Amino acid sequence: MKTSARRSPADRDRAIARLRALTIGSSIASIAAVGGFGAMAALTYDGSPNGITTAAVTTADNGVTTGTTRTTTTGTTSSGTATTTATAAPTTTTGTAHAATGSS
Amino acid sequence: MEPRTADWRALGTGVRLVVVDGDLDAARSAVEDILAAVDLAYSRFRDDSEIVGLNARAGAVVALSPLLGRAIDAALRAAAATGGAVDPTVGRAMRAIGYDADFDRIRNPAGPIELRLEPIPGWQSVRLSANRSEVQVRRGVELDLGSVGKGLASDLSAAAALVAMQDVATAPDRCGVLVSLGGDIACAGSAPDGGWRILISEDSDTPADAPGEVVAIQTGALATSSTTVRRWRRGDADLHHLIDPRTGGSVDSPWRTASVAAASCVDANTAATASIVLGDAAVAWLGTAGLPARLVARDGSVTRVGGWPEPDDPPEPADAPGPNPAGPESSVVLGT
Repeated sequence: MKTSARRSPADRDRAIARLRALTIGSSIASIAAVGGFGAMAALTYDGSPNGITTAAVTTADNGVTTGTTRTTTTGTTSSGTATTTATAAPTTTTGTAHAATGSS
Repeated sequence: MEPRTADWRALGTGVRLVVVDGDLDAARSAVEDILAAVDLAYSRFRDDSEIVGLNARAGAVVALSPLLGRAIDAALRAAAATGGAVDPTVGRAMRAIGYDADFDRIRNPAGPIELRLEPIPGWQSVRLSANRSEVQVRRGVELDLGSVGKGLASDLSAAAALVAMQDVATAPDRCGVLVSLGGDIACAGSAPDGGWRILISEDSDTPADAPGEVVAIQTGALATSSTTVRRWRRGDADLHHLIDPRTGGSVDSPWRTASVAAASCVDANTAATASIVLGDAAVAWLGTAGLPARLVARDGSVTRVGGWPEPDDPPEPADAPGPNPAGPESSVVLGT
């Protein structure tokens, strides 16, 4: 891994503190995000040839659709919910791109 | 201020950092620190990584660093949100198809291998404590955080870079950053005028100024999964890195590439990978989820869903080959 020669021990300390804040704070953010997205889908992928069926979708009091995951003994997540969070659709534009998306 | 850019390589892939109204060096330093921490936490290809140690202790309750705990949590969420189409328990399957080292070392043609394919164990074989400090993985199961891990690295890098820039900025509210980690793009802070312009490609090594469809996003993330790039051959078997959980082999999908925009890069990458795995069902799933997506079929035809814009785009390149995990020199055992 390439590392920068510019950093001092103080820089490193700040970076570690930053990472700690990000990894702890993201838990709160991920839970909070449940109330902030427009839609989500939960599927059951049961391994059959056509095994994609909608499942475990409920609607919360605030009208936001949430998907409940298994919350018993296996495959648990820390908040008990699993979502994909939508965003505004991209828009068509012109000009040189800042970056290219693609597989790597 | 015009955006400024830095490019380098980390985690076996290209990194692009673009900043507006911020200190590029401070941002790069923050991204490098995040990627170094990610490499140590969940690289499959270094013996001293935390996840390699975890996989070696399958069956035991293992303490986790905050970063690996966060990553496993994200992977389990991805599995739940996709009904298991994107699943972190593909470690053994990856090794079975020959993806057992950094890709630069396996991409060259090699002799045939015996493929013993079987459904992956499934994310339900992983128990993560509520505070993400401990995990227990069923004996014989190996985790590979794959696309979710890369997406999380992009999200964390963008967030860290923004904080680092704001620490030294005179106008912190104007700072903005884009991080592309192998084409998985996360943005944070303010966007430049007109938004972050992103070239939609199948290969993240495509130069950003190459011709093609360019879209703009103001915030969030955009990621692409494809069967066309990380491919290799063993004997006559044509393999790639996207695993079908039902078979444990390279997925045989009607889509060769999927690009998805979402609020986070974890979600974008999860949905992009899930789209390849879900195949024809992906269109309905993406629509229900409200995720803007661009799907490229094997013949190069493009399907746009969820509000993805219709550009005056040039035709896609000619057909790309599909996977052939059962080449004539390979033996395939389906099921357990």
